Amino acid sequence: MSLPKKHSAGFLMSLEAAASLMLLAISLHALQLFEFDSGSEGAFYLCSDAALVLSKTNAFSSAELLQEKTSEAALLSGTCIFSETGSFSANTCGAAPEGKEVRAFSFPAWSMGKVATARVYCWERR
Amino acid sequence: MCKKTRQPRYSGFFSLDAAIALLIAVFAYVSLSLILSSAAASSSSGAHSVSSRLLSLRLSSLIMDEAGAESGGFGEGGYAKIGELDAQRLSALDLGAILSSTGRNFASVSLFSSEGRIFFSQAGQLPVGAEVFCTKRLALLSGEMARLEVCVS
Repeated sequence: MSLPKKHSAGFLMSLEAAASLMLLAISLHALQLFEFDSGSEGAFYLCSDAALVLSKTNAFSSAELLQEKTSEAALLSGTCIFSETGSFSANTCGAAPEGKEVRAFSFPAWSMGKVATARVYCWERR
Repeated sequence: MCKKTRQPRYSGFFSLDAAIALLIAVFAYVSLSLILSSAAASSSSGAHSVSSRLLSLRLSSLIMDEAGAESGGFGEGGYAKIGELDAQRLSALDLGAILSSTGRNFASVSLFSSEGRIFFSQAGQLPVGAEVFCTKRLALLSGEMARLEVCVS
């Protein structure tokens, strides 16, 4: 009568190893939750300022002025700014890259002699 | 006739298993203490960074408010023009007094137009190797766009 063959479970296949790997994965994911500080509060204020400044300089009155003022604001702030009304828009860096954090503000502004919804989008340069 | 018994190889307190167990215990203790100390250092550094950035942000709001342009209004007081700076009020700001109330070592205020820096003021001494936290704001100065930079350390 032959004895049953003894199976030797290697360490990598053991239940403890699987549990350890699972705990490690959970810990690694949990570590990201502790990154509570993204440092983007200054960028939020800067975009809010840009929207205010563009509104105050009457930049949304014409397409040329909007492009000029948007470019000036983007140059001074060091960020990418896209501004638009229903009629025209101005861009400084092209489209925002995928996954980039974009801040946006909407407000009423005078555009071509009537009140229109103006929008300002800001994101950090690469 | 006495039968001789074989002496065990390891006797007394010492055994190979116990040695390995001790080694594992020491290794676990050292690992845990290292993780705890690095986590404490990291959180301390993070807290300092967050508080400094928020301080520079609040300081920039204070300066925007204190150096803001005003216009005439009804009664005794005027009204502030949000987002507009007055060069005279900015120059007259007592940055040293503001710095002393923050408890920090150094603060500076710079104003840039599209041509370059047009105003600079600082208070305190910047320690060697100290980290500086700056906040950029946009404002209008006499109808022209300008960038306000407030730094603290």
